[in-house]
Amino acid sequence: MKKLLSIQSHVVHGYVGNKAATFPLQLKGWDVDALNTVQYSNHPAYGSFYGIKYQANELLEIYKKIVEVAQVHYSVVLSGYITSKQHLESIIEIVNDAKTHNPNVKWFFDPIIGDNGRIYINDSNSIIELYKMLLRQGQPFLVTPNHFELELLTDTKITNLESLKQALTKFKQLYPLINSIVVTSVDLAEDPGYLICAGSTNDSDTFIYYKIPKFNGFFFGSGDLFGALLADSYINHEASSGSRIDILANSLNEVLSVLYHVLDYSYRWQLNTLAKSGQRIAPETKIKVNDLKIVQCKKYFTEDVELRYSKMTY
Amino acid sequence: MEYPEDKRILSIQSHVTHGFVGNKAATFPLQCLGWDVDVINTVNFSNHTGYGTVAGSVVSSTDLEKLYHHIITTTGLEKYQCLLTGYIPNADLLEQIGMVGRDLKHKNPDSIWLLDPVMGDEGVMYVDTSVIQAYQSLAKSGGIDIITPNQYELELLLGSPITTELEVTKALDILHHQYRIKYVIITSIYLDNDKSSLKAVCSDNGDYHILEISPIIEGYFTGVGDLFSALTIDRVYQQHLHNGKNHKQLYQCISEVMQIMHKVLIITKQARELENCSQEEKSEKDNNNNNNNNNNNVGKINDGTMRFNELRIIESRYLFDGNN
Repeated sequence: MKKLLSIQSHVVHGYVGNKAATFPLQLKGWDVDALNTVQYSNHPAYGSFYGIKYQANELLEIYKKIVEVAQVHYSVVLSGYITSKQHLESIIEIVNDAKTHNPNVKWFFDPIIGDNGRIYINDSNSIIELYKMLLRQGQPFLVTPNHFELELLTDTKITNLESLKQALTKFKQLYPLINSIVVTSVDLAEDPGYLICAGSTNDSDTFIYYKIPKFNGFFFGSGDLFGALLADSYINHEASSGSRIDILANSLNEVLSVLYHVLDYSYRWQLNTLAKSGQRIAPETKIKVNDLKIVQCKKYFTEDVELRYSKMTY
Repeated sequence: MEYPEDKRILSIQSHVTHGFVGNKAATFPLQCLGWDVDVINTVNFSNHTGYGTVAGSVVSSTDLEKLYHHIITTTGLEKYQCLLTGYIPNADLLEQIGMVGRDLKHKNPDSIWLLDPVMGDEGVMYVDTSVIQAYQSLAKSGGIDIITPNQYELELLLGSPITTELEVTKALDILHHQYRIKYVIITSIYLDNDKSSLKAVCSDNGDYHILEISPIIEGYFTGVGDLFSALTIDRVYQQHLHNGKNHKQLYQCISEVMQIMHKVLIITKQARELENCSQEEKSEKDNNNNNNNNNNNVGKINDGTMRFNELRIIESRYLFDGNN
């Protein structure tokens, strides 16, 4: 049985954090231990929410108790949105301990800071410093910053393919112990209809990328779903032989192809719901898709999905 | 494109990070069956209490009330088709849940509320005694459509021993007619003290059937009741939808659920035996017999073998596709 520890937020309603990650991973046969960092009514972008934050030491105590009573050996740790520096410290301690039980445990680390130039974590300066230290020490296996987060982690502005390559190169110089880097959604002015998803490994100079047509919508939880699917896909591809950059490239294509269907279905569902409620949407309007339709998209997690994208190399 | 009707269920139960009880046992099967499950966690625990020790915290009744209130007001999606409530650790929370149940019913009178009055089993209580009285008043207060006590819980609820078929019919009469609960499922009961034959009773407004439960798979499995109530509310909901055509009676629904449960327990038992073998090999190598001097991991509370007895919900996922 494949065992995975997912340290993320819990929302009662909707699909972000652990609610976005758990169901797809379970469908793919993972025994997911969901360690919730918070219990919120819904994701904050709804405009209002209520919630409880679990203390940093509670996370650690829960983890330790599981190891004590159930002697679980995880092969993957997933982490996402972090509410404070203390919480991040607890997570680091958890991963370090998990490595003593299984030296091959892989930490898929989403260094959440913000998006589109806006920071949405508290205590961001000290968390960014801690992220940088963590990356230098090389605890995470694979890191998935977005455009803005990669800029912050490398102090490099990304405006075109050339500066994207510079940022990735600098990332690898600054953090040579990180096995793989994936930048999830690079938005370049020169190609406004597309997002770029790029990846590289620390044993190769090349980087690969995929051009993904944009949806005219705002989505929530898509990054969390992406991270979960990537962990699963990477572990599966790793079992077959191949260079690390190929493993990464093939996993990314698979994950992006599945994600396309989930976003497409969720987007159309939202349009349909708006239409039914009598709202007229101007063709160019970017609509807000509050909840991914994770449950209705079950078949995309259980059946093979045709690969949609062509790998580019730079 | 055609979109299937949204099925929304609110499930208020415990959360364990590791293992499968409460919401961890209920959510995944319901999601597989196409439900959008809104999950309120009454506790945030490391593991279930059967291990003898846990870490984590219990939500306050104020937090529960506010979480519920915010979901209703901010998501704008007022209607739930179903409400599923299970293990509630104290009377304060239980009262709050009564409020939630009545409010959902008010918003959608067609919704179905399954209340599993989790208090204990075979004479052992695992909640605070104040909970008994809270369940008694909750059961009387209306709005509950399905109740799923075991024999011990039924006795606690009604305050008298229920060991014969006659006593069962009297109990059903109270639950249906005084408490206005349409469906009663006594999930396990020994009638006339016959410990050789475990039975279940399903009653649709007094029209009752007694089902034989296939021989219990040896061992202590926590979460069985939580999986049972999740699968039951799905079946009963489908039943409501198809009222009139292809009508299945309650006992038919329940015996289908029990067949699935039986398969889940077989998968669980097989996985346990597999791990037991590899554990024995390991312990020979390590020459460490602390937990393994007893080769049968039949799982009694706090004997160190509990970890082998977690329900194999994930390995059983093919059973939850609605075709079983």
